[in-house]
Order: sequence, then C-alpha cells, then structure tokens
Amino acid sequence: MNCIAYRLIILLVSALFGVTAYIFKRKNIPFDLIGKLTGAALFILTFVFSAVHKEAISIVIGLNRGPSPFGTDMPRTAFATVLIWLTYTAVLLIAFSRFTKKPALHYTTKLFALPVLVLDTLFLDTYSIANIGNNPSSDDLIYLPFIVAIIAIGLSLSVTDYILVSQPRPSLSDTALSVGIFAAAALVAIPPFVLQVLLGFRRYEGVIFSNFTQEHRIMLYLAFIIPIIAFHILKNLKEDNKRLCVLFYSLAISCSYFSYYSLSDWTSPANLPLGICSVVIILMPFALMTKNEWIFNCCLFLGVLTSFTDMLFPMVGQLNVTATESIRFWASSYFVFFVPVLCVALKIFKRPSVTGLLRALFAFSVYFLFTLCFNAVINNFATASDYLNFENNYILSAFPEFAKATKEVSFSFSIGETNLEFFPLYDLVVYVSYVLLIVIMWFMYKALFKSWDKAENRRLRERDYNKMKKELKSFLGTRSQDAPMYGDNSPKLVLRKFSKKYGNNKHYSVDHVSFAVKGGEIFGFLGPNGAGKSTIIKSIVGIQPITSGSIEVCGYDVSRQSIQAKLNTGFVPDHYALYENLTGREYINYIADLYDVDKKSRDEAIEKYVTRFQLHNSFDNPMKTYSHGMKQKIAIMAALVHNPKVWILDEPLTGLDPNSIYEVKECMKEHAAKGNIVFFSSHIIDVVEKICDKIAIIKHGRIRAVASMAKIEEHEIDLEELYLHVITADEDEEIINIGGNDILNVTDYEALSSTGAKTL
Amino acid sequence: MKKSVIFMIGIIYAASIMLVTFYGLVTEDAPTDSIPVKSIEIVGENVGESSGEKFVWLDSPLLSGGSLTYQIQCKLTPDNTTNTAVIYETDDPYASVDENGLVTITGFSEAGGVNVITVKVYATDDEGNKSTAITDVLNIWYASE
Amino acid sequence: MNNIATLAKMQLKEKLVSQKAGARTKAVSGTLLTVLTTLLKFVLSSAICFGLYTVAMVFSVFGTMAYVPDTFMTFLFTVLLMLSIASCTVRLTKALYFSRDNVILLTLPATPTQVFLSKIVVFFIFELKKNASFIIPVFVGYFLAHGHSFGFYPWLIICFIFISVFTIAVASLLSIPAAIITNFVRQRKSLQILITALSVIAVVVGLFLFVSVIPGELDLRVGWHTLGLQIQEFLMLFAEKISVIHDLTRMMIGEIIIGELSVTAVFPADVMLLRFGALLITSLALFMLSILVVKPIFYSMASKPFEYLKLLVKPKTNIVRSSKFTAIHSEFLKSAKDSARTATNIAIAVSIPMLSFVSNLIFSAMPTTEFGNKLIFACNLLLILLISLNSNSYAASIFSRDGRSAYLIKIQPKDPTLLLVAKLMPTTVFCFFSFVLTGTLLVSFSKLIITDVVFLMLGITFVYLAHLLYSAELDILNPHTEIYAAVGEYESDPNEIKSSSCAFILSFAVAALLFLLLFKEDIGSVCIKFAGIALLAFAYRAYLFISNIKLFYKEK
Repeated sequence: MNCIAYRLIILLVSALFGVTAYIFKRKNIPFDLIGKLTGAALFILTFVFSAVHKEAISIVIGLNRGPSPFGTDMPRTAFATVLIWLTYTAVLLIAFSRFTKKPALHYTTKLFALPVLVLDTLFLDTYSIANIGNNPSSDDLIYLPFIVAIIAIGLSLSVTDYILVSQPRPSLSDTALSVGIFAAAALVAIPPFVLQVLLGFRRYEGVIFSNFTQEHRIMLYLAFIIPIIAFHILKNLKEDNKRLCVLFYSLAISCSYFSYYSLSDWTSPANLPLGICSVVIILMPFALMTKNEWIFNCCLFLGVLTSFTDMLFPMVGQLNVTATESIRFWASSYFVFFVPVLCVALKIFKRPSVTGLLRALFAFSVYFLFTLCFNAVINNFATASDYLNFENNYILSAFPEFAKATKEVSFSFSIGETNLEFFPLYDLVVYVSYVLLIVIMWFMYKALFKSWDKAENRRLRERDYNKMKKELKSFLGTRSQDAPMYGDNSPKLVLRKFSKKYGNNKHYSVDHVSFAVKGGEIFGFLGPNGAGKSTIIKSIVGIQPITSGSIEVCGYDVSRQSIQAKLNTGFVPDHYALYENLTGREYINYIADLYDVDKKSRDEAIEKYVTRFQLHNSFDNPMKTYSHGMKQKIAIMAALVHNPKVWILDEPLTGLDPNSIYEVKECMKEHAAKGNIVFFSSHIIDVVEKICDKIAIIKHGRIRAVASMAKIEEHEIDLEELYLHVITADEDEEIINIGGNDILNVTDYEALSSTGAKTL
Repeated sequence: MKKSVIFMIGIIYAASIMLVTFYGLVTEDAPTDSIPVKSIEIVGENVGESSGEKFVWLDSPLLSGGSLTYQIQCKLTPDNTTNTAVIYETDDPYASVDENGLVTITGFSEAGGVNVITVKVYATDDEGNKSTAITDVLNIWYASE
Repeated sequence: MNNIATLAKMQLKEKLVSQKAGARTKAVSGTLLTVLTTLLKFVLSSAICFGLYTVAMVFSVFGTMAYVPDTFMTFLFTVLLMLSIASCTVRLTKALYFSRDNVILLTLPATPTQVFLSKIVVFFIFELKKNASFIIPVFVGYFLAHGHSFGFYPWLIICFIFISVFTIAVASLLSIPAAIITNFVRQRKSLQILITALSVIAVVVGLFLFVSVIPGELDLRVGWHTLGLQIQEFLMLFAEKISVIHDLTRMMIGEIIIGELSVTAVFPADVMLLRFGALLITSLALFMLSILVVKPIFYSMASKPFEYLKLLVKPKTNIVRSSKFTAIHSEFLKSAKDSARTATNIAIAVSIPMLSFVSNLIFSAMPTTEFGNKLIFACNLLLILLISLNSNSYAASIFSRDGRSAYLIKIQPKDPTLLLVAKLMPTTVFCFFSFVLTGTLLVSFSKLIITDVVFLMLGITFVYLAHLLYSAELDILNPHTEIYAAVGEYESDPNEIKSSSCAFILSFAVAALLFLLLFKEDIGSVCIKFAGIALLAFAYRAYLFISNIKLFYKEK
C-alpha cells in the first residue's frame, strides 16, 4: 500500500482545513456550520464504516495465540488494537464536540485527539493492516479510502480546534478533568474485540457466564451497581451536561454495537438489527438528541425487561467473557438495561406516567405487527428470522402444551410467490404476555421512583436539619449546648416577628407578632375567636412549628433548643388531655419524671397542690373517675410540678366552679410572685382585669393593643370598652399602647454570641 | 385484630395442613416395572452337568423305611428380577418336592441299585404363572439298599 | 311510637356518619362504591361456599352420595347460630347498657322502654347486615351446589330475617345477666385477674385434651374413608339430639329426597309454614318476655356504668424514676389497666405457641418426605409470622388512639422518639415471650435442632420488629387522632389496613423465599442467613424510623 501518498493526502487536507479556519478566524466568519457539517459527516462515516466492515484484527484471540494480520509480531498487534480503540474514541469525541460549546470537551480533543490522530497518520500502514488485513482482497481495498478519510477529517477538525479555540492557560484541574473525560469516553467507546485480542482466552474456556454461576451473578450485580455509581457521579452536573454525557454514551455504544456487523449481515434478512435490544440502541440517541418522549417511553418500557431477561439467560454464556460476542452482549445489555432508568433518575426525562405507558403500548403494537409480518415474509427464504423471539418465548416455553395448542390455529395466504403463515392465537398470547410485562414494569417503576423520591426528600430534609444544628453549635461557640442562646436563663418570653401560616394557606393566621413578657408578670391575652391566640400559645409550647420569626423562652429558642425551652415551660391546655387509666398520682409522677424533678421538691409540690385543690380522696383513683373540674386541676398540677419559669394556660377557667376559679387565680398570683411568668389567654374580661399585670389584645393575627393594668386603672379606662373598641376598629390603625412600652420593646433582648454577633 | 383477619389466618392454617397432607407425604413405592426372569439355573456344590442336563449324586443311600432329602438351589438371571417365585415339579412316584425346593425321596424303583428321579424347575412370569420356556432340569441319583 | 322512631333515626344517623368518618368521597359515588363492594363480597363468599361444598361432594366426605346431607347443614347452622347469639349478646350488652350515648338518651323525654326499643331497632338493622355476610352465603352456596329451585332464595331471606329476630330476642334476654355480671366484675380488679387466669388455664387444658386426641400416625389420605364414616355418624347423632334446629334447618333448605341419580329438595308447604309459625311465635314471645323483664330495671342498669365506686385507697407515696425509664413504666401501667388491651396481648402471646404446638404435633405424626419437611418448615414460619405481624396492626393506630392526649408528646421535654418507642413496648414484651415459648416448643416437637430454632426465632423477631416500626411510623406520620377522640374506634383505619396487608404480603414472601432457599441449602445455613438478612432489614428500618420521626417533629 502506498502509504506515503495517503499520508500526504491526510496532511494536505488537514492543512487545507487549518488554513481555511485561520482565514475564517481572521475575517471573523463563524466556522461553526462547517465544523458541524464536517463533524456530522465524520460521525456518519465512522458509523457506516464500522457497521459494514469487520476489522481484520478482530479474529485474533489473545496475544500469544495467532493468527494475527501481523503474523507473530505481538507488540505490533497490541499496539494496533489500542490504536484502533483510541482512534474510535478520538473520532467520536471530535465529532461530538462540534455540536457542543463545552470548553472542557474542546480541551480534551486538543490534548488527546490530536496526538492519537497524528499517531494514526504516522503508523498508517499498521493501522490499515489492522483494519483490512495484510493481503487485502480487492473487496477489502475499497475500505482504504474510508480509513484515510476518517483520519483526515478527524485530524483536520482537531487542527481547527487548535486554531479557532483559544483558551486561557488551563489549570491542573482542567487537565485532570480532560483526562477523566477521555478515559470515560475510551471506556464506553471500546470496540468489542479489544479485550479478546489483548487478553483473550480460548473462546470456550476460562470463566463462563451463565447458569447463575458466581461470575454470572457478579455480572448481574454489576448491572445494578454501575448505574448507581454513574448516578452519583453525574447527579451534580448541570442539566445539559448530564444529557450530553448520556448522549455520548449512547452514540458510542451504537457505534461499537454495530461494529460487529459486516456487509453480509446487512444483506441477510435474518440478521438485521430488528430485535428489541437493537431497536433500543438505535432509538436512544435519537430520543436523547430530540428529547422526544415517545421514543424514550418505548425504550424505557420495552428495553429494560427484555435486556434483563437476556442477562438472566445469556445466549453467549458459554463463551469466555473476553470474547467479542460476550463483550458486545454485556455492554449492550447493560446499556439497554440501565440507561433509560438512569435518564429518568437524572431527570433528563420525566417520570413515566400513564400517557407514557399508553404511548409505549401503542409503539409496541406497531412494532409487533411489523415484526410479525416481517417474520412471516422472511420465513420464505432460506434463513428464517425470529425477531421478538416468537419461537423461543420464555413465558410460553414454560407451558409447552398450551403453546402447542394455540399454535393449532393458523392462517395463511399467498401474495404472489411468497407464502405468509400466521398463528393468530399464538401471536395473540405472545402479544398479551408482552403487554402484561410492560404493565408490570410500569407499576414497578412507579413504586421504585416513589420510594426514590421519598428517600431524596428525606435526605434533603436531613441535610437542612444538620445545617441547623451546625449553625446552632457555631453560634453557641464555647458555651455548652444547654446554655441559652439569648442571654441568660432568667424568666422571659419574647416573640420576634412571629408568623404562622397553616399548610398551603395564603393567609397568615398570625402575622408578624412581636411582644415581650418579663419575669414576675401575669400576662393576659385577649381576642375574639380565631384571632390566633391558640396558635400563638401552641407555637410557644411546641405543638405547632414556626413559619417565620422566632420565639424565645428564658433565653432558649423554641425551635432550635426545643428541649431546654420545654423544660422551662408548663402548659395547661383548654381541654384537659390526660391518660385516663392512670391515677392522678401516677400521672403527676410521670410528668415530674420527664421534667427531672427531684424527690424532695416533688413531694413538696404534690403535697401542696393536693391539699390546695382538695384532691386527697381521689388522688390515688383512676382519672376516669374524676369530674371535669378535678381533671382540670390535675392538668394544672402537672404544669406546675416542676416549677416552670414560664407557665402558659389556654382558656384555663372554662367550666370550673367558683371555688376552683379562685384556687387557680391564687396559684397564678403565687407563681408570678416568685418571679415567674404567667401567660394565659382568656375570654373573660373580668378575670383578666382583676389579676393581670399586662395585657395584649389580638385580632386577625395581629396585635391591636397592649396595656399595663396599672396604667389602665390610673386612667380609669374600662377594659371592656377598650376591648370592644379595639375589636371593632379599623385594621390599619396603629397599635394602641397604654403603658405597654416594655411589652413592645423587643429589641432590648438581643442575642450575644461568642463572636459578639447580635442575632442569628 | 379484626375478625376477618382471624378468619383468614384460620383458613390459611387449615390449608397449610391440607397442603402438607397432599404434597408432603411419603407415597407407597409405585409398583416398579417388573423385571422378568431371563433364565433359571440349578446350582449347588455337587451339581454337575452332562449332555445338557444337570445331575447330582446323593451321598447317603436310601434305607428302607427312611427317606432322603435334597434341597434344590436355583439361580435366577438377572439377579434383581421381580419374579422370584420358582415352581418345582416332579412326576416321579417315589419323590415329592415342596414349594421351597426340598426334595423328599421315599422309595425306589430298583432295589439295591442306582435310581434317578427328575425334578424340573420353572420360573414364573408376572402373574405368577409357570413359564414353560424358562426352565431347568435336575437329575438326582441315589443309591438304594 | 313516634318517640321510638325518632330516637332510632337519631342513633342510626350518628352511627352511619361515624362509620364513614374521615371519608371524603362524594355521596353518590361513595354509596355506589359501598353497594358494589358489599355485593362483591357477597358473591365472593357464596362462591367460596359453593366451592367448598363441591369439594366435599367430590371427596365423598359425607358418603358416596353426591350431596351434602342436611345433617351437616344442621351442624353448621347450629355453630353459626351459637356464634351469632354469643356475639349478639356481647354487642347488645355493650349497646344497651355501656354505650356512651346513654348519657344523652336517658335524659330525653322518652320512657326507658322506648329508649330500649329504639336501641333494639338500630341494633337489628346493623345485625341484619352483619349476619347477612356470613349466614346467607353459606346457604346460597348450598342451594347452588344442589340445584334448588328459585323459590328457595326469597324464602331464605324471609327465614333469615326472622332468625335474626330470634337471635336478638335471645340476646336481649341474655344481655341482662351479662350486664349485671360485667358491672360486678368491672369494679373488682381481683376478680378480673382470676377470670383471666382461669380462662388461660381452661384454654391450655382444652389444648392438652385436643392434643391427646391426635393419633400417633396421621395419614389423612389413608384414613379418609373411616374419617368420613365417623363424620357421618356424628352428624346423624347430632341431628337427632338437637332436633329443633334440625327442623329449623330443614325449614330453610327444604326436605331433601334422595333419588336414584340425584337429589331434589321439595317444599312441603304445610310443614314449612308450621315451623315458620313456631319460629315466629317463639321469637315474639321471647321478645315480649325480655321487654317485660327489662322494663323495671333498664333505667337503673343503663345508668350504672356511669357510677364509679370510689374505693377508699390508702394514699401511696411518690416514686422517682429516671426520665428515660418513666415513659416505659407509664406505658406498661396504661396497658395493664386497659383490660381489653391486656386480654388481646395475652391472647396473642398464648395463641402463637399453642397453634404452633398443635400444628407441629400434627405434622410430626405424618410420614413426610424431604419435600414435606421443607413444606412444614415453611408453614411453621408462615403461621408464626402471620399471627405476630397481624398483631402489629394495633401498633398502626397506637398513636392515634391517645385521641386528644396525643399531642402531649410534643410538649414533653424529651426526645419524641423515646416516648413513641415506649408506647410500642408492652405488646412487644408479650410477643417476645410468645416467641421464646414457641421456640422451646419447636425444639421439643418438631424436627429442628436448637441452633436452627434459635436463628429462626431471631430472624422472626427482627422481621416482627421491623414491621412494628413500619406500622408505628405509618400512624405517627398520618395520625387520625380526631376520629379516635370523638368515637373511640375507627373501623376502617387506613393505617391499620395498610399494616395488615403488608403483614400478609411479608409473611407469604418470607415463607416462600425461605422455602425456595431450602432447595439450595440445608436448614442450618438457611436459618443463619435468614437471621442475618432480617437483622440488616431491621437495622435499616430502625434508622429510617428514627430519622423520619426526627424530621417530622422538627418541621412539618
């Protein structure tokens, strides 16, 4: 072969392209279009070349077992194989990078593709011999121009890269990325015969992969492990990059899949790539390029199940793993098995829905009919075809008598010379079985993705939770985790711009409420029904989460340091909530245990309250025998047994008799006198008037008035009138403030972190 | 637990016992295909053969008023034949043979001489009938006083 | 009369609404759905009964004739009638004397008798529905299997209505002593414990009696014929002794005439109407009697449950417990005081070893092949898992059952996970105990050796725990506290249904998996693998549980 001439041609073409590119660059004419056209041409050329031509070197089995086109020259054989491999990678990368504007890709082609192609040119003779053999027949010689053309175009395009793309000085990480990209590309673009040539054992010896031997099972596990690894690698890329990666993978696989074919295969109807796997391999790149849901859904539903069954019962199982057919089988099966699912997981395509299922079913029906007719037609010729495995259907082979029975019904007619025979019943059964499988796949996908979503959701929330914890830790700095975030542990209750929205409601039930309560105060909270009193109380106590703003109890933030905040709170709900089967004593002791109250204070407290509330006779009887008032008293006891700094009550006096009301009021006064806070909401203005020190009136989720009772008495204001006025007044009016400055002044209490930052 | 659940569990319980009964128990050995006898041969320590027939000499003579006994031993081929029954026949008036092959000789036809009685053995077929094709003959020679 | 009708309507409405509590389906489609499902259930059960009869005929259980004799139907009907009366009595007692709405009803301007009658009417309507679902299919299946003429079907419905009347009449009479006894026992704790202990002992004794009946060698296929004869004898005896119910049954299924080739049922109108009349009169008489008896005492009896005996108890001392342990202690206390809950726990704890014991005894009496041994192993596993996992359906409502007190967990200054896990402990302890007992029984009475049994029980425990956490998580993340707070019971709690179906699927899956594995490896390694995988599954589930609850309580 006259290699010199070909080399010259290659160099000439490259030089031509280079000069053209340079001129275009100087004249600022975009070279993109030419680049794209040439790239597409390159890809098509490579694909067609590999599809109709079998490399001569692919017959080599192992380096020390001939025969090789190079005779016994093993190093050369190895070199040639690797060269072909790298050439495929380089060419695919070059063609692919014409269509994307990713600098990383261009850098990769600059760094790797060019040297590879230069090597090709230098060792053109080796390369050609490897492709078409040492003594090519005249048929084979036709392929020589192909080879030269591919190398030439490839080299030209990479030269244009050097000229057109000017990048800033690449960093080490860029280089590393490029190495990674090239390595990955090489991995997926590997021609199937490479392993056989380099490593191959005799074809039927060595490790066999079928019948669920250990090695077979390893391959099956890999089918699941590889996509998980790929997912973790790819999930953090940008949307478009993910698609490009998978697209490259599909293009590379289709190339290597069809490289096994030769011209004769295309002319014999039985070997056409019309089986499901082949169809998916052809369709996936189209689906990815055009983002077409139809095609993708077909691949998703049909391909996965068939490839999985193929892997379970591999037809190439008897061959050694490095054999060409074996590599081709496993590579393509893996591809068809996990790439569609990977695409959905990476959100390149949407989750399969019912419409997707219907689309797939429709497409499958079309495909089914086509294959049916095709099989019937082809059966007239020498080699019968059996696409879609009509004859060897796995399911029907489990019921041979049934299958035979259905085959009885046949129907044939002739068109001209061809005789078409159909087995309607049998075909119907096959069709139904496939449809069932598809539907089952759909349910499995739904379940899979639902649990996937749940796991993702949980992971995200866990991440937020951990972030919150870390923030708290860094905020507290050197203080212990039990130390209050804001200042010291003295009794105080502060709400800062607290807002609460229920679910997806647009409307805030509590809207930016801020107030502060100091120790020793009895604070009354008035408002109409639905104003938000209960919501505020429930959020302070921890029953409801906070939408925005913050609530602070004795220096502890209620959401971030909830346990410490709860330890300092005692809550009496509006309707007692107790465990009715327990006795009063058991219940109170249980609560006291939870609050870590020691025996001495517990005994004192219980004795005091039992006497005060006159519960002697009933305290050791089950609580379901108590009257309503007694149960409420027990609830009060439970809230006070640990002597909380903040005592919160929600409508405490509903349903109590006068004696009990009196007792409750006395408790409240006593508790506040000790320096603690008593915070309660009520409807009964008289009671509020008599015992509160400070009050606030809330309406529609916003504070409308604050007052100190001392000032109200001073000005001889009737609280009832004030309340009615506030409730019926306009929304836009300012907050009425009667001596309640310290209530509204929440900025006095600022958090001090170890670094001196004011608030979190 | 709801009543329906208890009911279902009860049914599954009964069903599992039924299942084990019908699928898990030892079945009698199916009648193996019978292995027919191919040939029968009389054997023994002193059994000899001459011109196609077997013969054996009894050591002790037959005393008057006494009897001689001889146990016939047969070998069936193949060894694992299922038709192990053997039919013994003799039509000699002075001898009888029981079903186990024990020949009892009580008389003789020639006094003070050598007598011979003939016993035929037949193999059986599947139904236990005499199989006339598979047979052997034993001549028992004995002396009488 | 008006009063009764109004009262009845009021209670009916309340019951219907509370049963559909939580359902948000549109009215039309909802009722259509219920009608369809009831119809479907009905058809299904009839079909099952039909199938069973056909099987019995094919196997000549009742003799060589191809029919199921009316004596068998008598026996079946007696059993069903007894069960029906028993459950009726229990539920009627509860409805008449222990229902919460007595508080309102007794204060309304109606005489106690009117209240009584209105309750009976409401009860009757619901009873019809309940009885229909299991008595009618039995007979319909029978009719189908024997080709009765069409007239029998409406006749069956008429008879059935009056049999229900009869049942309720008997039940209302029996409910009076039942209520008195219940009131008496409720107040006295020691009596309750005594009764529980006695019933457990009775069950165990009954078990031993039953076990002694099991023959040493049991091969049902061989002994089928003799068993069939024995059954027939027994049925004849039974029908003779209890001729009343025999007449009643024949009233419904007609007189069976055994022809040469087939069997026909005739309807001698005079005999039938006579019997029907007798039934009618008896029921009405009983009914009148019960009204007569109840009239003076209904009011006092109905108000009794609301009076609590205030026992003068010696004041106890306060005991301090560690805050981590106190939740567990409190849950055990609550569970012990809830007698219904304790009864269920004990029942489950006892039933698993018992059933396992009986079945293993039966199995060891059978001559089994290797395949049979594998089947037995799988069946053992299946039974234990089915019962223990289905008992977890209680855990699927354990949080919601607290009703209004459920939110207390959020207030307590402790990690909610600890408090929630404490709730699950009482039942778990009983289950552990039953697993240990079952293990010892398996070692003694089945063909397994001790290491196998240990690993098997470990595996079962882990599967049980994993399913328990799953059920609890279902409820905690989707509580139905309002319904439980209002009504006390939620018939079709979706969490319970989910947990129950998961229990069935899981038990069958595990049993099938281990059964298949047994073909590849021997029992010992299968048990070890099972224990290992179950441990991993449990660890993962526990991690999910803790993480989900933590996130759920941190934000919503």
